[in-house]
Amino acid sequence: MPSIALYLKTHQPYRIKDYRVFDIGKDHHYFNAPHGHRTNNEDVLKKICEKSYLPTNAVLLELLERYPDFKLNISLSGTLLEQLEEHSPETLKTFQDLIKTGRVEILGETYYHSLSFYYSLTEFEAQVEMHKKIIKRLFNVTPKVFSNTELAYRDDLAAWAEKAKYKGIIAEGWDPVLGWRSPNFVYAPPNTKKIKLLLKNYRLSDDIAFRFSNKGWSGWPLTTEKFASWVNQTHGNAETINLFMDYETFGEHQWADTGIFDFLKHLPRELYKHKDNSFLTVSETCERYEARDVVSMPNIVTWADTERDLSAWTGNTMQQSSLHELYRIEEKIRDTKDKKLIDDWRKLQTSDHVYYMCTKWFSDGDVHKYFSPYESPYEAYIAFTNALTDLKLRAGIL
Amino acid sequence: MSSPKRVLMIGWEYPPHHSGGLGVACQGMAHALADRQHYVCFALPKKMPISDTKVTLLYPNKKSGKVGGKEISILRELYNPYIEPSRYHSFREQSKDILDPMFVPGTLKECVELYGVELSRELLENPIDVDIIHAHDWLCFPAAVAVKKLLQKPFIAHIHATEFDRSGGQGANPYVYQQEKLGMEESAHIITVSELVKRTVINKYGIPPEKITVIHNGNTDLASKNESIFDNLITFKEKGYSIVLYAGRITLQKGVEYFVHAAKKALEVNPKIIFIIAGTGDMERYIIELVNNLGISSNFMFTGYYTLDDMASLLKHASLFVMPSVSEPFGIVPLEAITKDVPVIISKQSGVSEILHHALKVDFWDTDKIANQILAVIHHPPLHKVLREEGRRQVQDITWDKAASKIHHVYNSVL
Repeated sequence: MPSIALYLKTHQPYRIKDYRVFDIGKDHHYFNAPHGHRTNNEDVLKKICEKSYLPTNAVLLELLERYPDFKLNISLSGTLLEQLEEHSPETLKTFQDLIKTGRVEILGETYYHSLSFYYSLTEFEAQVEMHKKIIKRLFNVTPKVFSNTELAYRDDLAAWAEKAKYKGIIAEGWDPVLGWRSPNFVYAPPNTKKIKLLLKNYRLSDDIAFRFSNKGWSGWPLTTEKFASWVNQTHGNAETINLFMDYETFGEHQWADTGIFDFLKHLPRELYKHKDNSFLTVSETCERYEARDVVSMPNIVTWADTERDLSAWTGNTMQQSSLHELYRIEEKIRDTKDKKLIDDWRKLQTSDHVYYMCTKWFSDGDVHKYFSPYESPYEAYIAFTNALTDLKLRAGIL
Repeated sequence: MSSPKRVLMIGWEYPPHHSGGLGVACQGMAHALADRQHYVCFALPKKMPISDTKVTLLYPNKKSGKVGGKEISILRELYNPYIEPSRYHSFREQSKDILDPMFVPGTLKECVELYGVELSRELLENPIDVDIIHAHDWLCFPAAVAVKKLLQKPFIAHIHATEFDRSGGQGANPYVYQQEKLGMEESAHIITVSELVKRTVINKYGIPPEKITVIHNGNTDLASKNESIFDNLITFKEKGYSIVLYAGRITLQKGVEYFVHAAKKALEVNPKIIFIIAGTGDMERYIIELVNNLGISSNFMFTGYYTLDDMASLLKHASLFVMPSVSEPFGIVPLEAITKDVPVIISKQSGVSEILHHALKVDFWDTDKIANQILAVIHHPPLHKVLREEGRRQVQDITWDKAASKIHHVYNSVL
């Protein structure tokens, strides 16, 4: 009975190089770290293409050829697409091949993978528009379902998305919000008429995304049979199973030697063994099912961490002041009408920059959770702040 | 298994009569062990006017009692664990007229060996019942080896610094190296204060890694009586200056030169910074000349020898503490700075950087980066605030009690 909405989300930022105070006023290139440095964007991109995007897309294309009903959903940020065009057109082509099958839907988002919705609606709308354009240009489609950065969702975002003519929007299926309700149905946001809310089944999603190779987990080793049996257990009490995860789950978070690609390759066959299982795009999911209830999230809910909030992006003073400063200068930056300047300012809005400044894992002593090209949150802040100071100089704000 | 132990600690100095981190670390450790119900008898090479309620102090050299107030400070210099044997000799020559000839032996070598003889005699005359011997650094190793033979008890060698750290790449003294190596080989197990020291012990002394346990030092919140000594710095602060502090010995090992070069670069961007160098050492004159030659002497202050109260007062006014050590086996002062709400820049070549996450870290030679970090902390209050708050939270967790618990494990492993 249930359909499966598989959604893979990916993005790459423009990492800021070790930009020092002495560079301010002299060097206006913030994102051009030399090769071999951890902040070199081309190096990182090529590595991720090789480890994740290319092998994943090869498997997905094979699945789409073999199973005429197999469908999935993806999203790609503008900053990633730009870098693919420049440094790995062959990888971009494999994404285009996926879309050409007509069975892979692209979701809408902000071009710069920013949290702008919560800081400036004007800027947010501009970035969504930019993303729409690049998707149209590269894939010749228009997104119909919206997915915000880090699934950072709030009721008013859904209201905005409805006004912007989206059929649906996705969010985390977080228990404190859902209560007794299941994420395996379609819901409606409050104060909306038509738009549907799709919620991530985080247990099943994270079984693959986070726990797949965890030998300490009772579910290990995760076979396709086992996973399919868990999906089948929902029968009778589910209409859609929303498996949302990072693209990098395949090959990067879970390395090839864990067997993750074989898992992906064989999962559809195993699920198809039960004739009630099927795969759908998110648009189809929105169209097929009625909203079962109104689900409200007046406060921001994300798909991150155990807290499911924005604390990894806005938890400390360095992060808060960086974001505040970025959006404080918005009008003056736009007034310059300087395309390069505006683009640099927007690249600084990419949420990764403030994420790298997060100190909460350091405080827990859980440093290995700190995924960052910087040695510490402090180094990330210093590079960012120096670059922002130069940007302000260029804009005549200082 | 986990019953409290009776420990004979063999040390060289003890607060308040200490010249560096060694005495402070020994006291912190001894107190934490005592708080965990271990019996700690702490041996020192000579009588020092110390009262300590937690540990039993043992002075094997009774003759030192003759020495009065003024002489003690000179003796303290002679007993400086950081002094080189050759310098010890010349220092002794200069001061022989005021020293008791019965007490001071000819060389540091004899002094170190005498400690073993005297301690053994003391223990023969007044036997004490102990389970284990725990000795700190090479100065105490000949004594520890002698006492080990006498008592037939295992001996733990605790390495706070090796000769390679002390000499700062200038070449290790062969006698000291030999004593260190012998002590390490004779010991039942070795504790090092960092991974950095552990690597040296493996690579330079040929000790198998499984014989070594790394136990990082804890932090001691040093109580000061008078923090107003440097209140004249307020004048500078009112004029918009920020104060950046270095405190420690002025030696090659400590990388003070890099601090000066970084200061020069920082001042080119922001001239409103006062750099303070607190401490003394054999490179003091060179550093003062360097500051003059770079034309930045009006932004520098030298305090000379500093006391605990001086340090507390300096930290009260400082915006930032910098430890640019070329090689720092541990480095306790950054923890003291953080305890007093002063963020720190520490060199990656330090043991403390292995455990301190909330600090700016840098290669000691990268003066560009040190300057960049100094200016970032001064210019951007959010950075100062997060370093301060997160740092203090973390330092509260770096305790001697945790170290004592690990030391207990080591005791158990050899008994």
